[in-house]
Amino acid sequence: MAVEAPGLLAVPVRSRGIGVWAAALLLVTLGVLAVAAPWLTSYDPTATDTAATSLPPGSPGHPLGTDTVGRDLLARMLYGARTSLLVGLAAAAITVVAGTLLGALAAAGPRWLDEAVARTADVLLSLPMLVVVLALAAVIGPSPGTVIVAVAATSWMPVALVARAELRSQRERLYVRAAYALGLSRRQVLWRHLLPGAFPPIASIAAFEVGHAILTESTLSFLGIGVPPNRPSWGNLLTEAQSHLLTGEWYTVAFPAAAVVVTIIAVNVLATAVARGEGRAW
Amino acid sequence: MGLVVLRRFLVRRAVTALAVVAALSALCFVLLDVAPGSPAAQILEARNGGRPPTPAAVAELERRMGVDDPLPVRYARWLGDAVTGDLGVSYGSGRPVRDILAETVPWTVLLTVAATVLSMAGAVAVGLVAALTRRGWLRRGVESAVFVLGGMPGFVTSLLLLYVFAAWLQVLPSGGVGRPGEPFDVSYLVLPALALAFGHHFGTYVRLVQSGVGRLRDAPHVENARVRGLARRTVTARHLLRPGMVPFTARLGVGVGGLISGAYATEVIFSWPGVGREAILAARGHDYALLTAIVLITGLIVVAANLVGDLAVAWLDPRVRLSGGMDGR
Amino acid sequence: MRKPLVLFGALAALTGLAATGCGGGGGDGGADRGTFTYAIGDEPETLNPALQDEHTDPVTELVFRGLTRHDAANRVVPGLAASWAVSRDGREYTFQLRKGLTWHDGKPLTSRDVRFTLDAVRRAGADAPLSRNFRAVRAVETPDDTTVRITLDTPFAPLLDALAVGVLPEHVLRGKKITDAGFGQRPVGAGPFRLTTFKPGQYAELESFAGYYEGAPKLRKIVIKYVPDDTARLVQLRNGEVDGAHVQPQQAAKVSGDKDLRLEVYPTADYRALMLNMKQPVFADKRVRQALNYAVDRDAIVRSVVLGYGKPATGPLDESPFRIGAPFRFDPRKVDELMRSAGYTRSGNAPWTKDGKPITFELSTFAEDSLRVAILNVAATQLRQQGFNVVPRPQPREWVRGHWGDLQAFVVGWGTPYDPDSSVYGPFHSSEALDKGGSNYGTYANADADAALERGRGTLDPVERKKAYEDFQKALIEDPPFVWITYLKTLNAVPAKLTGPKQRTLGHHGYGFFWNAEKWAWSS
Repeated sequence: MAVEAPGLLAVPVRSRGIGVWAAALLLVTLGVLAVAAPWLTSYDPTATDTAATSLPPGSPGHPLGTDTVGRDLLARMLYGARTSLLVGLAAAAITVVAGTLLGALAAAGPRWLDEAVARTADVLLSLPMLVVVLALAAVIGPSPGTVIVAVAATSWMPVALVARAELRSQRERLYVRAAYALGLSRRQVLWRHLLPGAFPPIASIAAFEVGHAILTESTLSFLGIGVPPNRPSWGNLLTEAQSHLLTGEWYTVAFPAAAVVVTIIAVNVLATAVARGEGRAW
Repeated sequence: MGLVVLRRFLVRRAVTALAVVAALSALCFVLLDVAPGSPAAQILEARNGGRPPTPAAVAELERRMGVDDPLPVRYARWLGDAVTGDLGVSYGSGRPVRDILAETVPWTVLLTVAATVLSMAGAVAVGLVAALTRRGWLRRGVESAVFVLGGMPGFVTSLLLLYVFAAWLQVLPSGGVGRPGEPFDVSYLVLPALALAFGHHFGTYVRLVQSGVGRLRDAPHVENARVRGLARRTVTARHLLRPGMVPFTARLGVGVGGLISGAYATEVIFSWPGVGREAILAARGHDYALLTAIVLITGLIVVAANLVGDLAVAWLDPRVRLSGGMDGR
Repeated sequence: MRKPLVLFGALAALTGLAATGCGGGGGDGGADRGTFTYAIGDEPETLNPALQDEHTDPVTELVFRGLTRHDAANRVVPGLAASWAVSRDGREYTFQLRKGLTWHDGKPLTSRDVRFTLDAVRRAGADAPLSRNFRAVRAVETPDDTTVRITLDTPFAPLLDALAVGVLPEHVLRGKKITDAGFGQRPVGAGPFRLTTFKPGQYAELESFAGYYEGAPKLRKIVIKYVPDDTARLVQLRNGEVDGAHVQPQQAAKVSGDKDLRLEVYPTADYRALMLNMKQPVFADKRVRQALNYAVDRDAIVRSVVLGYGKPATGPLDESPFRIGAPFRFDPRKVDELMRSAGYTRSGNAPWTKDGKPITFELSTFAEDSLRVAILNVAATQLRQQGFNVVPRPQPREWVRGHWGDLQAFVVGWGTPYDPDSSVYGPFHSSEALDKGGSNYGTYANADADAALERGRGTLDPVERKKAYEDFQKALIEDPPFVWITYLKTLNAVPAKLTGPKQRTLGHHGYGFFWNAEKWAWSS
């Protein structure tokens, strides 16, 4: 187990190091841009300006141009990054925490709990995510929170399954038995030995989950059941721009699409690196 | 494996499937019930051409539709009917749900099957190349391409395909399932199937094949087979492909669920008359009867796909023990 | 490995077909086959005209005919009825049907079908929103096969207009509910086109009906294709999969640039406005509401939101023959004057303030409706610049349905090109207030407007009606219920060689484009 952590850290300097560094740099940059959005642009992303509508990229004062009601596209991209990245990170975090907890409960808890978690996972795995999301959006209304909850509710199962499997396999290992033998309580063993051991494979799932959540946000917004249209998010920008696909204002589609695609790719590159360092395919 | 084992496995699976379906339908019913809004308002709004109906009319229609009854009563009524094959009547159009499903489900199944086949074939081909090639640039190229695909939301892929093949090159039709008045034309299936097949899950498939096969590539027994002078093709098929497919096949069920999810956006963009469009409309319109039936039927499809996946895994790798729980995956 | 082989075979076949098959299904323009294929976004749940409102979808419009119909100026003209007479007290209407009318299935259409239709709609109550038009009907009699007599409890001026509703066949619907789903999918009408195929989610195919009372239409076939995605619709138009399509303002340039296509831009009576909830204290003073009407720059909204395909709105009847001019236009000085007279003060760019409190309200709309959300955003920005602290807050449709009374201001859409009564009585008469179960969601109450609306409905004298709606509009100018924004225009692309489409002020969604399709033809 001890070699695992350095292995993780050693990943970036392997053969695909440049790609991983580039991905990490890109994500950090995006994160900084998103956090610093209010200082990077003086425009309110929802304020319209009917004197400056449909400007092409490179227009004075509007480096990425404006949309049909004169909203600054750079400001919308920056604030959109806030929403999209926030949704991605929050959904992944909740997914991982909830999944790990449920997996741990299933592995460490009584038999009926294990069954309950397993059956619930079965049910949810048979349910296409969008059906759940449609129902959720109807219940709590479209909002970033809905997207986060929806992603978490439909993605925790693989985490739980991995956590449960890891915990079970490690339960029988020598050092865990030794810990029990030394008189540590069940809870102490779980927290000190079992969960840290299950962390690497879960970290790799978590990394992929960030990308998955960003992708889901954009799809849901595209279908009109995600982030409310008034709040800029990359998915919403895409939806608004979609009817411009063939009308010459291709950049309104290209910018948010590129942002989504590049972010997910970068996240996936990192996730793969994490997975490799940990010695698994994914 | 023995027949008895197989039968026990099938029975267990069937029971699980039934439980899953029952749980799904109940969940769906409850969720929609706590949701705000009313199907009566939706119906009347449609009849008003999108303008809000009067509260008085909504109240009267709700009373007539029997949505005033408590939830358990409505659920019990629906369940009783469903067992006899009567799935009720869609609130939106007043048509029997069975008819709507009969019209739309085959199209979604066709699209999903075509996409699954394309996706699997593509994943096996690409995954094999990536796993077996000794050329670094080729492997990296394949991996990069897969990465880019993996970052594309399904609707972006769809729009891109629509733009390139239908709008720009004009070699493929952009939507529907055939010219009006003429039977189904396979060329209409190409773009939606491609969009769905090579969505973001494709990368996962390729990685599964690549790792499944890659892990075996230098295994002693494979090396042994090569040394014995077996043809390369035989080695690949018998010792690499078959066992290497196991982790991938095991994901089939989950994959189909994901594909059906992806099909929603694809169907809207390509005017594909499948169940996805109906589901979105039904959820927005609180059409309990229709949405519950759709959830049910999709659940059944995914459960069936899971079953097929499990059987295939057992066939590919006799060491795998069939079981009814989640250990099977 | 047999199964996978089969699958791979299928795959190969699929890709092979993709490579060789079909040049996009395009090319063979409908002209050669006499078919006109048209793509539209919205699809109706039912093709039964009694279950739609007065603006019917294209298929229903083509399949059915009413006793009356509308001409290019939206005046009532004979439809299935050749002529009619109205008694002096306005309570008895006698219609003479045309001779030899037949249904699409060949059965004769008689006065009994008309009676059946009206009785069914009246009985349907809440199921059929149009039943509101027939509440005054006491009885429908059929002295002979071609005569219908309708007697009313009270005079109801919009009746002739309301009778444009498609007549239903008694022999098909007898013993069935009006909501019968089978009829809604396979309707039998007496209009110029007969429905031959209806595939929900795909298309409807209609054939020229030889038995139509004006003779068989020249277009042999019309196919209405349902393509919900805007971009896909444009693609299909451009690669020849469809001949015509409903298009979006931002797509207009693409169509105008194509010499094989012609862009038909028609006005509609469909307007957008900001409804103000009169129960909110902030709107109690009518001077504030007047000021709001001077604070929005409608031209800028039309230019940006609908790219010029709209017309600044100043009242609910701008597109009606009854319109009178209203003074509302963008005028910051007037805003200043009105707000100060209402007791508000303002310093610099700060909001208007009274008793230390800035004027603040939430502006909401259906979050799913991108056009309304765009209007909401632009209007909110403009109003903030004029010192109104407007908080934009789009809400999901479902939420709005349960919270009409809680809204402060809301982007609404109303309007009709037909008789004014049907789109002003509901939203503006105090008896239709939200609490009373009506569609006056802002609970607007103005005694002058009420009286004028009642006169407009109750008198048949054209001069008196004109006066009534004049008074009504004056009341609305003095005491504005809404902040009027814009009327929308509707854009349709048709082949350059299609003749016949004629401009008319259309209903909402731009419905009504096919109003004279029986006269359309291909020019050779």
